This record gives sequence, structure tokens and C-alpha cells, in this order.
Amino acid sequence: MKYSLILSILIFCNLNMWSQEKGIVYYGHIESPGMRSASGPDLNAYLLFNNDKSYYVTAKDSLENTVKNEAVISNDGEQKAIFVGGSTTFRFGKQVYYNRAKDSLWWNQRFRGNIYISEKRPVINWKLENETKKIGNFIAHKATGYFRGRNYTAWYILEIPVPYGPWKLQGLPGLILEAYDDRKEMFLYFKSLEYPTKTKEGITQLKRPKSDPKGWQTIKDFETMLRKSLEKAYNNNIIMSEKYGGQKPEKPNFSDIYIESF
Amino acid sequence: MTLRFKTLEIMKTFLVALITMLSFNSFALNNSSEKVDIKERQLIHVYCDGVYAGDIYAMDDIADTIEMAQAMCE
Repeated sequence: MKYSLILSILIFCNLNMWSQEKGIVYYGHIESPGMRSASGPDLNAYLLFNNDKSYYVTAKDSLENTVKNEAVISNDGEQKAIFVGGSTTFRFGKQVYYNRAKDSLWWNQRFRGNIYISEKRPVINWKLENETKKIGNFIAHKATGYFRGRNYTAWYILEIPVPYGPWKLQGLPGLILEAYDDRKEMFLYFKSLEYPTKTKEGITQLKRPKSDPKGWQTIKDFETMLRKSLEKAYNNNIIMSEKYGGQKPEKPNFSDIYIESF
Repeated sequence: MTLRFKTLEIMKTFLVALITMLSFNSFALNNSSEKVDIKERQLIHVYCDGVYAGDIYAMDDIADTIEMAQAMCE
């Protein structure tokens, strides 16, 4: 009886230790909406995870050598975009926190300042393919799935059986090392992995400046914001074309403007 | 003596005005000869602090294009 009690305690501790074991994956994160290739700014990113939760961050000042606050031009020869107003990196960066027990995501992004969204975990209906490829020292398995207006290909590994991935991509039987949409306008690539990691950083909720508003907004609010901005920009384009001539503007296509479409 | 001085002053002013007018015309002429059909220019998406604000036409000078985009964001 005494021995089985000790054994149970040991097993429990071991399981608990495993669940607390942290890993960290370093990625490259390139967003190039409307450019038909991965031609946007190439930013550093990392994903910190344990068995219960994950925290992803990119576009963070401290992850880049220089703080890119000036206007940035992305160009692939066909379509150009100018990002004005410190949209490349910012203090706490673009973050995504995923809590498995609560089955929810919390994330932020630049949208006239910072916006904070909490939502039920979006389910991506991944199709597991037979194809494999080598990424680093791992054999990665291919999966394809549709998420908010784009068809994604993800490469995951079974050695680390957690459902996490870069940005908001999740829900596969193993850790996602690489992912991109079929236009490569969202391109997330693997750099290195440390598992277990000795990093002291905790896997916490989103970090944000004290001056930011506290309220969480819904995914519906986010969709409304994007739709309104498209409508307003279209009206601006009409005014510009009436003033300066040129082609009659077409209604902007959601996926040519933003990474997520509704 | 005073009358001659005044005449000279008037003539000087006229000359300055004439030169200014000629320079302006020449500037306008140069500008019109350099005018490019706006339809040939590339459209660029402008994002202001993460929000798509609309499109602008690319200028010959990249600095002018950025300035135009920044003005759009103000």
C-alpha cells in the first residue's frame, strides 16, 4: 500500500513535470498581402509552449536589430505596398496566446494602434497528406487546410505531439514547423527548435502597455473593422481618381489587402 | 533728375516682372513636357498603422512616393 502510494506520487510528479516542460521554436515570419509572393518584411518570431498553452510573438522591437518605424516599401515587381506609421515592429509585438483548457486564442495586432481580440479557437479542418520532407533534423509531415480566406500548407512533426504552430495556425497532431498559404503571402518558416528549453520566459497572457485599453474585442468586431476600412479606402480611391484621373478604381479584394478574410 | 530716376525704377520693376513671367512659363512648359500618363503608373496600396487607407500612383522618385503615402496617412 505504502509502495503504491509512493509510486503514484512519483508518476504524478513525472507527468506534471512533462506537462510543464517547455519548448521554444524560432521562425521567420513574412506577411505580404496582395503581393503574390513572400516579399514583405522578413521578421523574427518565436513560439514558446508546454503541454497546456503556447505563446507566439513576432514584429517585436527587441527581436529585430533595428526598430523599423519608417515607411517600408514591399515590392515584388508587380504589386507594391507602403506601410506607414510603425506597423513593422512595436514594443510588445504581434502576439498570439493559446490556452488548450479554455480552447481559446487571445491575440493582438496593429490596427490604428493596438487591438486585442479574444476568440474561441478557430477550428481548421486539416487534411493530413502522405508527403513528408526534411526540416532541420526532423521529418515533417504535410497537411493542408483552409483558414480565413486562404489555403494553407503546414509541415508538422510527430516527435513533439502538441497541437501548436506559428501565428494562429494550430490543431495538427504535432508541432508545426513551417506553414504558408498558396500565394505565399503568409510565409512562416522554421529556424531552430529547443526542446526542452531552459528559457526563463513564462508562457503568459498577452503583454501590453499600461496605456492600452483593457477591453478584449470579439472576432466579429475585428471583421467589422476590416470591412469598414475597405469601404473607406474604396471611397478614398474614388475621390482620388475623380481628382487626378487614372483608372476607375475597383472594389478591393479582401485577400489582396489583408491576410485574414471574412 | 528725380523723374529720370523714377523712370529707371519703373523699368527695373518691369524687367524683373518680365523675367519672372518668362521663367514661370518655361517651368510650366518643362513640366507639361515631362507629364506622364497617370494610367501608366503603378498603383501602390497604402497602409497607415496597419489599416489599408487606399491606393496612390507611384512617382518617379521613391521619396516622393513615400511622402505622398505619409500625407495620405495624416
